[in-house]
Amino acid sequence: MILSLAVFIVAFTMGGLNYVTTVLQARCRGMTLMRMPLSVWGIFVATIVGLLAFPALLVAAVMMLLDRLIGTSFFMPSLLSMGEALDTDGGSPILFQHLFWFFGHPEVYIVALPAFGLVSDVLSTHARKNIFGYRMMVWAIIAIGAMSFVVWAHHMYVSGMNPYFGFFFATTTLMIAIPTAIKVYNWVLTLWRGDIHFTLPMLWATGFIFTFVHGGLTGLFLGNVTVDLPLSDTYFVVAHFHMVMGVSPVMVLFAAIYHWFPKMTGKMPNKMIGTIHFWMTFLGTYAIYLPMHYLGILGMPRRYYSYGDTDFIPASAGSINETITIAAIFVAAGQILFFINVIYSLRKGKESGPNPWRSASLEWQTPDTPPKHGNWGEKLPEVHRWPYDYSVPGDDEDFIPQNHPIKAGETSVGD
Amino acid sequence: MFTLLFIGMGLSMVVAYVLIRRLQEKPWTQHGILEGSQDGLTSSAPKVGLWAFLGVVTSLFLVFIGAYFMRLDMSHGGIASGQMQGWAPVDEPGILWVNTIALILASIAIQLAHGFDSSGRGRIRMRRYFNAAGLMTMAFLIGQVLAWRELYATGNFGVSSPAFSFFVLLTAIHGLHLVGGLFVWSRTASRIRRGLEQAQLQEVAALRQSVSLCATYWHYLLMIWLVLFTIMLST
Amino acid sequence: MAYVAIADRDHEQHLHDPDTFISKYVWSQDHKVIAIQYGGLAILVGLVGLALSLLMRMQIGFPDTFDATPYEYYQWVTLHGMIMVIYLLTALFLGGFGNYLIPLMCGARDMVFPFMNMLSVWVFLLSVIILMISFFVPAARPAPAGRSTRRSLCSTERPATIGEFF
Repeated sequence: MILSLAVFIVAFTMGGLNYVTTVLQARCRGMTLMRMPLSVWGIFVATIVGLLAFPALLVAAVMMLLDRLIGTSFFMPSLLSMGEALDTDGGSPILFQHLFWFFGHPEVYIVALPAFGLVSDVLSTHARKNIFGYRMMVWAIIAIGAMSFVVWAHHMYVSGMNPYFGFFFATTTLMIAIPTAIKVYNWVLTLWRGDIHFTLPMLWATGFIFTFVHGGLTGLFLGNVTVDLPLSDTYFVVAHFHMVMGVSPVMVLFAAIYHWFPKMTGKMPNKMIGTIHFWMTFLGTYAIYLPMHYLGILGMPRRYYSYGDTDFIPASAGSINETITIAAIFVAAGQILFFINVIYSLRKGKESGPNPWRSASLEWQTPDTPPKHGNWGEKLPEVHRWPYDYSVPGDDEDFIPQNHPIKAGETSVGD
Repeated sequence: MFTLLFIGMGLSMVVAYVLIRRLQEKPWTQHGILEGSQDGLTSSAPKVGLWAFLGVVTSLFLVFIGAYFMRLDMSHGGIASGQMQGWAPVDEPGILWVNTIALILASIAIQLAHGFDSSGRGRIRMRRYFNAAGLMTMAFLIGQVLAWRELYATGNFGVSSPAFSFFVLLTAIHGLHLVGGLFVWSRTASRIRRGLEQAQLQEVAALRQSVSLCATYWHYLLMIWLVLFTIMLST
Repeated sequence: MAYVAIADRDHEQHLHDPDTFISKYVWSQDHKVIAIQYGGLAILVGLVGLALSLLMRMQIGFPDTFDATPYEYYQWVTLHGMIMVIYLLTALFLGGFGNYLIPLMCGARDMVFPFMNMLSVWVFLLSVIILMISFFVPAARPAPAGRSTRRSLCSTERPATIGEFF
């Protein structure tokens, strides 16, 4: 597995260099950085974070491989095994933890930042309203990306590291909650008084907001050292990170897939199957993770094979576990609906036309749907405005695509 | 020393970030099209890609160096010392100095290769110096392997000695990056060999850009080597 | 050196449309095809991760339904975590959506380094194959300790076969 990770890091680095260079160099005329959709910003910053964070995993993986294969003792302290002192000496498992989590925390933002970007675009398209506070959203993405490098040891409060470090990392962890909260407020404000169309992607995007707020709030508890001490390595942590890394990004994943499905295939996704898929997933994952928080507060530890008979863990915890398992099977089964939807829509879905959601961003303005090789036909597009010109007062349409020139009498173009 | 780690990390990120952001302006107005320019026209995209890659490599080496210092700290009575093995420092073999000089010469050669103009004699010189740079780099790598063998042969260092393991690890990673550079070098060298005399201005410009990018990479790896060498010498 | 932006040299580019099936869909350098390759592969690996999560849940909810040892259970934990976060989420969001949307949203024809793009998806496939192989080579499975693989630091066996090289 370690070797597989190292190979993956190579693949990621290659891909990442590509994205960074493309965003910086290959934009068309008129596409300034501040006219890029937030999806691109999210993916761009996440790529930079990844390019700088994955080397730490590579270092940890290489040193671990050497430890296991040829017996170096980068991480192995003096050990007694079966009464005999081993060859290793001088290493430290804490070093591994520092290295791993120096990668591990930015990694979760590598997953979350694209999700933030994608969901912003989905929300603004289906609410027919520009994303509230575009500039602050961009700065929040950048701030989260940068700060993600200085919070890692909040995974290590109980590792035996110097306790004073805990103070520092708790502070930075709470600080990183600020730009994240700003983003949440902006999403909600985007929806406020918007012309909301409850399309399939919008369902998932709204589900994202719910589950992300939920997961983020529990994260605030865990970020504090003192509160984390009894909750560490319990199911509370498991519930938190699944909500925030599993459920929310997956909501965005499905929102994005259903949103861009017409672009990629020229067909509309089936709304009924998709809606059932949504409700099964949304309610099911809540049924899994909400009780799990209680188990964690009870003190039930994670990564235990079985729990035996103790007073500390009552029998009712066992029955909660059973419920959670059944809910998990339910959710897993529900994902079959997704595949059914994809296959069904590919074959029998309604033709979507070039821009079924009436979105203003550039990718919907290609001459062909799905785009052919070369994307734009004879001539590259020219961009004149930002991608969020929805419901512009005084305009006939409720959106203006990015590549439409400035009309006579138009003053601000939202830059 | 933990602060050193911190600063190092921060620095690498800032450096990489600034370098990338420097090119954030509207790319089509970056530099105007110069009609009748001596050089052909190229795209700055490979340069941006290389600098982004150098940011990644910086992060990698900084993490390695940070781990090195953390380990050093632990042996000397840091947080978790106790009965830890002391840090038996490695006595760097003399051949490393020779290697260093070889790498410096390689950098100089490749920089000179880039500086020649597109005239006939200039092109021949470019090829010669470029090839020389590659040869010096190969000499460096052979020298590194010799250094390892010399150290291992002294028999003082088991695999579990941290200084020895780190020495081999750091030099190996640096060497691997050089090998990768040599791979690119060999492709550029064969392009130069194949078409230099008859090449059009456009192609020469592209070749010069490749040489220039190689030069940047070589100088960067030389700098990394100097940093690694200094750290290992002083601990 | 005079630089010209990619958007301004568009007229010089000659797009070689791939024509054979292999060059269009297998060794494709088109960012959209690569994105779908990334996405499909990531989802497949994600299904493996989903299966692992179900195995884990069965053990917790209805213990001893399967004949699993604690050692194996912890390996499921590690693998489930690594697969879901790295091979599914990172690959799908960055590899899949990134590849598809970035050129389209920026108004570009393709990525700046299409060959490297193609290489990256094949290297990703290689990493997935290595991961799958490690399921079947017992000694190559990860340390049974969860993502931070703390326990593997306590393991002391030296590898005896090539399988353990992983």
